[in-house]
Amino acid sequence: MTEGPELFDALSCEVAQHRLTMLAEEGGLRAARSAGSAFVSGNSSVASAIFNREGLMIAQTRTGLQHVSALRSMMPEILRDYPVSGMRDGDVFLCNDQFRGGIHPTDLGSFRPIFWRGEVAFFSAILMIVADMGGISSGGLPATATEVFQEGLVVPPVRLYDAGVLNPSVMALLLGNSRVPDKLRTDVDALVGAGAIVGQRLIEMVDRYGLGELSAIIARLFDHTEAIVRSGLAAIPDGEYVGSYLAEDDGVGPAPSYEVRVRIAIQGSDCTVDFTGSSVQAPGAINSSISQSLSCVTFALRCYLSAEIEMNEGFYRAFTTVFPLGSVVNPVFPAACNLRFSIGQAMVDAIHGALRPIFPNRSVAPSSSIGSINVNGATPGLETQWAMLDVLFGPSGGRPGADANDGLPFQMIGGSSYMTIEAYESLFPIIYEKFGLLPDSSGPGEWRGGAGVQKQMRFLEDAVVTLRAVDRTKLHPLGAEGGDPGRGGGWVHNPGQPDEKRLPPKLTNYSVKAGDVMNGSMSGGGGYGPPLRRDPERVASDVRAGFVTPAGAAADYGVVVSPAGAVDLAATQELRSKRHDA
Amino acid sequence: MTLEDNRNIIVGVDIGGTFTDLVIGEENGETVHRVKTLTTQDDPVVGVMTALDEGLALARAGAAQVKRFVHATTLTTNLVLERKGSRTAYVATAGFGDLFTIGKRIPPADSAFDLLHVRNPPFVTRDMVFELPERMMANGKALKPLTPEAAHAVAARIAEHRPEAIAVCLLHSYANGEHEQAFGEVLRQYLPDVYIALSSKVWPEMQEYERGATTLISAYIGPTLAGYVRKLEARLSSAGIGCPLQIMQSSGGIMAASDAAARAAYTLESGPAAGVIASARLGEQCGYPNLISFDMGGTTAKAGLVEGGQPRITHDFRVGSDASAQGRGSGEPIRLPIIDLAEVGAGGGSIASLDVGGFLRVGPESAGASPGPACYGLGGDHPTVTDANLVLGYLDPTFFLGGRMKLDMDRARAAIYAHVAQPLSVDDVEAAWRIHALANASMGAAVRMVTVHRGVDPRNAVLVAFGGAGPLHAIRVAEEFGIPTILVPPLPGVRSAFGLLQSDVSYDFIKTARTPTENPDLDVLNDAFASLEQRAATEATSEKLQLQRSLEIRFTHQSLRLRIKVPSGTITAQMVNDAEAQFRLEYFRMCAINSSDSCQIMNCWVEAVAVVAKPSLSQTDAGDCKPARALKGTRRAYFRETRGYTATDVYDRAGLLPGDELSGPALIEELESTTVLPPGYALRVDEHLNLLITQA
Repeated sequence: MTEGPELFDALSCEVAQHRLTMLAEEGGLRAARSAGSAFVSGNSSVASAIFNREGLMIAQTRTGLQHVSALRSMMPEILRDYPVSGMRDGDVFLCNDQFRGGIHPTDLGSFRPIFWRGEVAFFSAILMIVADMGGISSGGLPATATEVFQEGLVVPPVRLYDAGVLNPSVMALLLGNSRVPDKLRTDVDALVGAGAIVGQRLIEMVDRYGLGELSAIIARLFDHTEAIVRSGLAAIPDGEYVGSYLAEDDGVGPAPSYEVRVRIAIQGSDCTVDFTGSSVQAPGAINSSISQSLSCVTFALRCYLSAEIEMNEGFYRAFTTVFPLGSVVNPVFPAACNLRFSIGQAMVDAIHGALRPIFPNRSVAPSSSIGSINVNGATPGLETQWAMLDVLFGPSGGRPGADANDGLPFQMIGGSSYMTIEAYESLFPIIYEKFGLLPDSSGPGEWRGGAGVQKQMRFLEDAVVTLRAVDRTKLHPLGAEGGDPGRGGGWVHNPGQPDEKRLPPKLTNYSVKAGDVMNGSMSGGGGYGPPLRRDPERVASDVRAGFVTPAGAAADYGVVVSPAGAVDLAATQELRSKRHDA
Repeated sequence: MTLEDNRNIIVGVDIGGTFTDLVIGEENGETVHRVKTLTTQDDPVVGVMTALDEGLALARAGAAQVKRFVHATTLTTNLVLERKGSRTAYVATAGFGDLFTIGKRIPPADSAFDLLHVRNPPFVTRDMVFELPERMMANGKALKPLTPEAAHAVAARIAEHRPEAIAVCLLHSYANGEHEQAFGEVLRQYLPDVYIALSSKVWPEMQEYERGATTLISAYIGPTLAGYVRKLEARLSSAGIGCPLQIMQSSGGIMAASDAAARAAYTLESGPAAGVIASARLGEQCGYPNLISFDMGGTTAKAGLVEGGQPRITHDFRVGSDASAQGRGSGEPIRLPIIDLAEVGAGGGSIASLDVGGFLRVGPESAGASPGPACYGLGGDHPTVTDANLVLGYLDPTFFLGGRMKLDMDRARAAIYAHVAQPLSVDDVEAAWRIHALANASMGAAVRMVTVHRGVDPRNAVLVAFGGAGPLHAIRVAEEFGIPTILVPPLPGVRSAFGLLQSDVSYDFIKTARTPTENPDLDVLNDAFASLEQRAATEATSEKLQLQRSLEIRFTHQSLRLRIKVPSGTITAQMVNDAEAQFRLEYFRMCAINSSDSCQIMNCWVEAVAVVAKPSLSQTDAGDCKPARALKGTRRAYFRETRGYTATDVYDRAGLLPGDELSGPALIEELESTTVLPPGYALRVDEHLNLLITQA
């Protein structure tokens, strides 16, 4: 069925936009649903995008924000190694190379040319975290890696399927480098299968529109997105806005901190985001590859633009980005990058800080970070090793007029969620003892940060663990506009036992014994505004709910709460006036 | 019809936000009457009784002749939406009380960049969560026993907080519910009249979050539903209706109202499910096993899928979302079987506006019933889909709701001109067409979700259009997907209520029982089925129930699970083998992947069903094939194909007879709806008075 040309003038841009975005979404959904790693299938952080023949991004998923720019960065690298003219229908390419648009080896991207009438018309691209790609620690997240080779098998652009036929050598190489080859195989199949379905749907769409018409519509979609972005930028007063944020040490080198510096220059509807002056790349793995950096910048800037933006190439036209080569925001080969959210979230908070003066009512204090624990061991009698990944998502900071959303992950990874305790315990020799929020961990403020989160697990077998508290356990999330930093975070081995030991936040391949206990936590988010200005009733409510202890109420907020949970007004006034005098 | 004693009258009542729809028919009878009255918000029973009186009069029947009274309710949906459920306490294993404060909710996409986004609070506040010192393990053995002292101490503390309902979900209670049951008994000593929901009873499936959320929501809505059902039963009984009341479940099956209190969460999508059931039954009777049920009302459009005569069931439903229907991911997951429905915020009241980049948007904001579309003249000045349909000539300004409401064409034009036409530099008619067409595309999203996203090709299905606005947009929605046939059933405005007369009794029971399909532990499976069938015998109080078993299977390394039916009797290795083969087949059909992975059984299911007598499908003799008898007049209507307004015949649907054929453009009007037949389409009236529409 072909629609008349007058329809395209009338409304087909809006309709085509719907269809293309849904196609990208469908790709992500499909891949997640048939993924092998339990972490992905229980999660929504699969990134999926559609590109045109030239490799320009047409549409992408609305989730997987922390990953999605990587597809756009890897696409031209695929085209560089495999010119379109040599591609055949049924080809599938893989890539994870962090120096060629990737993020880190465990985030694997797959790319499929989509043919229409014998020519490449589009590409489907999907990226997700896969089960295990080798490297020095299970799950590919070695906290103290110093080179990419320790993080997993590097896959430069390679052709996995040649005209629909699997290249068994490539697959053998991939599986031969994984601790859990069955799961990796399932993950790769999921990526490939999802791409095939996007391809089918896209061909149906081209059949309806004709390639020429669809291309014309896509060009208008780019213009439309650019227009929305520019109208948002034009509303920001011209000028230069600077910000900076410190990430804590990388667990390897001597430096106690690494700085991200940003300069945002707005002129009319043009915007330059320049990270010149940021620290030289770290010896450890906190570096953010250029595509990860782009995802973070894109996320942070969209917080100040229209919510109606449909992402495509048009978005980027209004921006110039400067990521100095050899810095923490654009490291050179062979830097390790798996703790990239350390620098990544520092970039986001540096941008929030830079723009806070011009958006005083639309701001957020710095957020917490991510923790992850990879556990692997060999169950006696089983051929393959078992390997699990669990995570801790730190919360956001306070906002003008609202506390952070307790329990929700900080905003850039907002689509992430936890696997259930029962699922973990049914799959792995492990017993959880706690999963909950930490009292008094929120950064105090007129509007407090989100409460930190903790998990505690007991190992039923000897195992090796790799711990990543990505950031902000030593340099806690700062408060904003007079708010205080968040608290807590880190790893404790055998808490409450005689041999209790506080571990470094970043630790690779640490041995634990059957019966040992590990407690992990992420800090609360930073507070917004002076805590002494917080409504005492809100403090009392937090005490009743257990977010704040009575002692914390007095110490942090100058509020005296009775054992019944009510505000003692007189005592509070006295305490607060003493604080003001001090 | 006469007032004979032996008539078996069946009544279906669907209480919606605005209207209470009642249909009344007879077992194996053809005539079905309908009544539409305004919902009485303060006490919905008042509206039901008004409608019942009118319905009995229409059917010339007496209350004593009512054999079945089936009811669909939005009560529980609204309790959740408006956060008006009971004050609920939640009991968790010590160390795990923060489950819902942390949440497992995906924030809606439109808040992804909103730094000030405030999420909905959980259904249980943190000070109403109580931790119980006990611990089960995944293998069903107690790691830490629950002592009576601890149970009494916690129960006493809960009692001090005076909850109206209590939900208990302890870790691994799907494997061993002893701790939950023991604690439930202690709780009853302290709070004998309080509603208690135990997760090992409500939904004993692995995954504490989903099981806990299902239990929590059950407790949150249970007491109110129980009270409502008691009241309705009493009023019906005093009105002389002696038959038991039945309630529609979200799964499309009905249950005895006496079971509804304990199974409250099964009613969350009661009304919409009835609409899909009506479509399924219609398809079965008319020979269309595969169809898409498309229901469009004032604020939303809902699509459901029927395959092989059966509505597709989902277990990934979420309730209590932060935002619109599209933001459902942010709600709490309910694992109970629910008819797979996709809902988008596009209805007659959806507002059209331009985004900052100058593109047209329709919805999700709705003008609602008040102020309503601009053409209602009730103060609304934003253009809506209804305004566009009026300007396009699809609606008759003097015959809206059968003439009960006048529509103001000038206001519709003015609103469209000011907010859409002028900024886009097009005339108001062009602007109206774009609004209409974009609404079609938005509704297409709902159809896409239940078909394409589930791996189903919509072109192999018939689109059944109902709801007030469904027949007005359905053909264009079908066009989006290349769906060749559209069916507009009789009484499209009360289809959901009609579905209540078409449903069978059905109860679902589940138990987690994990074993590989290769060398399966048959004892585990046989024990699970035995306990499920025991529960079905005691907890489902309807008559003549038959049991259907199924196994939920997945690939060992994946999470996607499918339910495969298995025969009754002792489970054998051969049965498991056959089920695995069937699973692989269905998986391939869905995902296009031939996996070499091994398979694992996750859950056992028992469904208890009883087939009930229904009204039979009406059959009308063919007329003279001269539809001109139904011609009411002509009106100017806009069509893309004619590039402008064209004189269009308007027919009265009530006058159309089987065998009549029409070709577009034409408009077919009835009391609550208008079918728009564009040029290039042909319509035929079948012997059941359905309008069957295909491309000419």
